[in-house]
Amino acid sequence: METIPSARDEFYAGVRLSLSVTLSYLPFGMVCGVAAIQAGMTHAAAIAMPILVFGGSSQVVVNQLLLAKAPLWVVITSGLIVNLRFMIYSAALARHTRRAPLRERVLFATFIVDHTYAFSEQRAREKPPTAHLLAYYLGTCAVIWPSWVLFNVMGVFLGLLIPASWQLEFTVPLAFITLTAPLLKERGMWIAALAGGIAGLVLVNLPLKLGLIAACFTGVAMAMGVDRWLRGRAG
Amino acid sequence: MAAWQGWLVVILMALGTFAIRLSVLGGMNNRTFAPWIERALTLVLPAMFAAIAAPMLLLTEGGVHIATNLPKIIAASITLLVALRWGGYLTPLIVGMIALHGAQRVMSLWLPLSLPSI
Repeated sequence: METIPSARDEFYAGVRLSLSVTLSYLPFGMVCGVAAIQAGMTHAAAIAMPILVFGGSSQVVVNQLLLAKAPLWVVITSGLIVNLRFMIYSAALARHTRRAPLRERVLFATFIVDHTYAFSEQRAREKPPTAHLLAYYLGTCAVIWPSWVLFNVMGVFLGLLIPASWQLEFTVPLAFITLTAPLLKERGMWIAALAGGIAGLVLVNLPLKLGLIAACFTGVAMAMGVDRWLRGRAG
Repeated sequence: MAAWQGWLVVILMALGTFAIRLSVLGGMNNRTFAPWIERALTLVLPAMFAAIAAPMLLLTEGGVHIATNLPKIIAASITLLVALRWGGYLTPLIVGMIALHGAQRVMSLWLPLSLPSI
């Protein structure tokens, strides 16, 4: 008889899987650490940023604007707009956690980034569904959050250690591909990915990564529209 | 920049980002979404992740350059195939990085030959 995974099993499964993507944000984390120092942050503030904000794209934007001597309200508003996509992830995760008590939902919210959301989205869709999604989620967070902080700290104190010729930054798009692939099992998912990718290219020049959110809406709307159209024709 | 300004940015960014993260999760007390929103949310991951990755693969200096980015496109396609066929995260990533460097090596070998000699 197959045993049902305990919360502890799920936690370690989350740890194990997320360890395999840490490589993909090593160079990006170091870039963020370097950028914070260049922008004029103290070492302590540059280390507090990945701990408390925990969002690479927004950290880059904030530090670029600080370097350009933009007014502080512009810096903060811009950084927050970049992080607006976490609201969409918050809604997506809420589908799986609606019966959880508030303190558990707060834990889910605290560590939302692309990768933690992706792992739990996949785990929640696997059959049979897990009774311990929070444990699994916290397993991925227990790897991704401290390693993100560590890579930032390395950037703060050591600079960019890795030779540029290795092109390790290319692991970022590759990781997004590996995180999407397990979901590409039905037509709607493929259409969403194709339309989202094309819209992402077209809208890339919108300021503050707003193109990402617009592209996401485009991909989702296209997938829903085409799916309905094809079903109407088949029926 | 004064030290307090850096700290102000960090603290306000932290509070604001936490509010964004908590927004929907915090308010979902045993409520359910309308069916079409539920369906839309299942499609978010492929749409958003493709929108994040596509510009990194295809754009150079503001335009789409297929030829310049051919090694990246080959590497990304191989990563996708490996991930679809065998699953996993680390193996497709490593295979993709090897493919990137391999494709660049190959292209640097035959591209100069294909250019007209002056």
